[in-house]
Amino acid sequence: MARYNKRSGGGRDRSERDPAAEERRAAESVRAERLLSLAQSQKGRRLKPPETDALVVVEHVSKVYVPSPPWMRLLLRSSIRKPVVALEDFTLDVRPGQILAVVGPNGAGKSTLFRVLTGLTTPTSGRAYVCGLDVTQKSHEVRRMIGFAPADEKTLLLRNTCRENLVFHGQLQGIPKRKLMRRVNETLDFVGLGPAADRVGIALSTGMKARLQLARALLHRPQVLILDEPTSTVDPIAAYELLELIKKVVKEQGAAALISSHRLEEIEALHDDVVLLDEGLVKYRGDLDTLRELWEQPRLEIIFHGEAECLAASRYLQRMPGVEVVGVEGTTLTLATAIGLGSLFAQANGELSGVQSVQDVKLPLRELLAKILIDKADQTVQS
Amino acid sequence: MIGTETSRGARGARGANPKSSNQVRRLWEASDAFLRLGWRQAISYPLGFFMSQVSNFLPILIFYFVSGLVTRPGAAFGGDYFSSVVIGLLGVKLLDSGLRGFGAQMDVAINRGWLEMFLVEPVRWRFLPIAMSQWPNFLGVFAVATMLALALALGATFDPSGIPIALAIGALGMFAGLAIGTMSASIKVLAKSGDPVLLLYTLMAQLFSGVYFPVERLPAGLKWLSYFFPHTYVIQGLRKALLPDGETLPGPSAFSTVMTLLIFSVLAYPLAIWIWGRALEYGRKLGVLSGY
Repeated sequence: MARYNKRSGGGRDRSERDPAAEERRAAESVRAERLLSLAQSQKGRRLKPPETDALVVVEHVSKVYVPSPPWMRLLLRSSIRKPVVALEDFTLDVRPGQILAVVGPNGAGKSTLFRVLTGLTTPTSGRAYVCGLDVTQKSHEVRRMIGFAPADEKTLLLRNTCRENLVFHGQLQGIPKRKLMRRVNETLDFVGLGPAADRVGIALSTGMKARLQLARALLHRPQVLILDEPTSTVDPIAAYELLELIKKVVKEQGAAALISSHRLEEIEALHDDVVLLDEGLVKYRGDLDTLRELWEQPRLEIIFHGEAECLAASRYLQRMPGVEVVGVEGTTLTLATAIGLGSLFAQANGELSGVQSVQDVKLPLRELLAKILIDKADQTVQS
Repeated sequence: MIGTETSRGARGARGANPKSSNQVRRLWEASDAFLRLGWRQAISYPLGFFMSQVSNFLPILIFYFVSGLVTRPGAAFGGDYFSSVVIGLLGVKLLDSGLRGFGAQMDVAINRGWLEMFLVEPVRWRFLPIAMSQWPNFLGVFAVATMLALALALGATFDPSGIPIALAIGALGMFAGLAIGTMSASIKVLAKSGDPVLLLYTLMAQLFSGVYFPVERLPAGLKWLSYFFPHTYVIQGLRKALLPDGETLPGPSAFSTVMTLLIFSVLAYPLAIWIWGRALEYGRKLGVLSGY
């Protein structure tokens, strides 16, 4: 965790110089300068759209936020003093029928990626395509292909009814008037808001607002769904239902979806690919099973008849090579070990008494990702 | 299942020709959407909306009583002082709805967190100034109509034959205001807050454009400033067209005013849209178009 405390400053006195932090800042500056000069060298270069069936293609995209120029600081104080790298050499593709979960801590670059794809910001270098269209040069056409649901429910017209919300956005999306009302009603029914169609946004529950955000994104039948933390504010049941809807749309319409989320159990439930981002860099891209194979150390949970036996076993196993005691709680001892159950008991040679039961346990995804981000920060793995 | 009629696949999307879409229809649809949004937002706060409309009557009433005190003999009002100042007030109202309407709607969108969604929707960004200013423009015209009705009830006298040219001046004045307002909103979209330049501009316009008194009353050293404000041309043109003795007033004729405003609009509006587009592109580059 020390790494993350360093990032936030941890409330320490500024006068205390932290050499590691200084080094980190210097490395960040060098990184930003390198990316900015790369962008300069790529300026004006015309690239052919990729020949692929993928609906979303991101090729070596980097984004460096630079401080506002001096004249703009007369109007608004710049929020950054030095260039900040938000994404570095990011590459991915998402095919029809695929859901890609983008995971990472705050500041990892998830929102920047979504902003690049929705045309709200331009990449500093590299190219991104949606349905074969360059997101920088064909921003308007790309926006027709995308259904975007931002994380903030404030983007809804909260004083308007669900129906009015969708009619307004349907008009902006260019849905012909003769089709609009039918489409609005169908979409509201699809997300389960049919009975609440005439309820104003402010009177909706958080889960219903999340559904309305999804309905707005689905209204014009986009080929690409970009959903920024769609389940962050809803309860687990509502989140499950929302994800089922997303899976259904992706499957039935052959759409591609990019979802960012902090709720890792939901990402596990999607059973699709995941991109793990940290500080703008891809730490992992692939499916979760491969991720587990690559990173997970097998775990054993041993339940003893009594606490005394559990503690004695814990003391003994801490000294055994290839075994790490992860936790002791009451009569339960959790171990991380690669030596296998048989070898463990053979090596213990009768020292483990009072064992009631033994079982393999799966490392929670949250812990697995934290382990990758913290322990192996400097490694980039592509499966 | 919600239908798959637009699921064209990547190939279909590549083949889409945006030029084939009817841009006028899209502008109309977007304008209609924002007009309805403005109305729904207004009726969400009925008393506030009602009071803001009633407040439009106040300046008319104030100057009705003030006009009783303005008995300067030989003053060049082109009619009575009350009618002259009513035209000044109506001219300012019309221009300000053009000038500040888009910016005000931008403020609402920024503060309520809507702007990001407006920018992500497939509406051409250059359509936004016209589409988003529909509701304030409608309110401006409505306010002018009701203020005019009150003024007539209180005894203001106008020449009905000048109404057609007055309508042309009013419409062009609003459009000229929209051009300047769009340039100002270009700053706002980057600065994410109210535009201090426009605030000063509108206050100075009231002083220098002869709303409450003829421009000729200004000292010679300041009088030249009045010609930097479209308000001056609009108010002078309206007075020439509508006041019974308007033609005797100094300054260009109502027809010349129409031509001046027309040329100004033809030059300024494309420039304003170009600046707006550049501002948005610059905002994209800096990454400040979202996260309000």
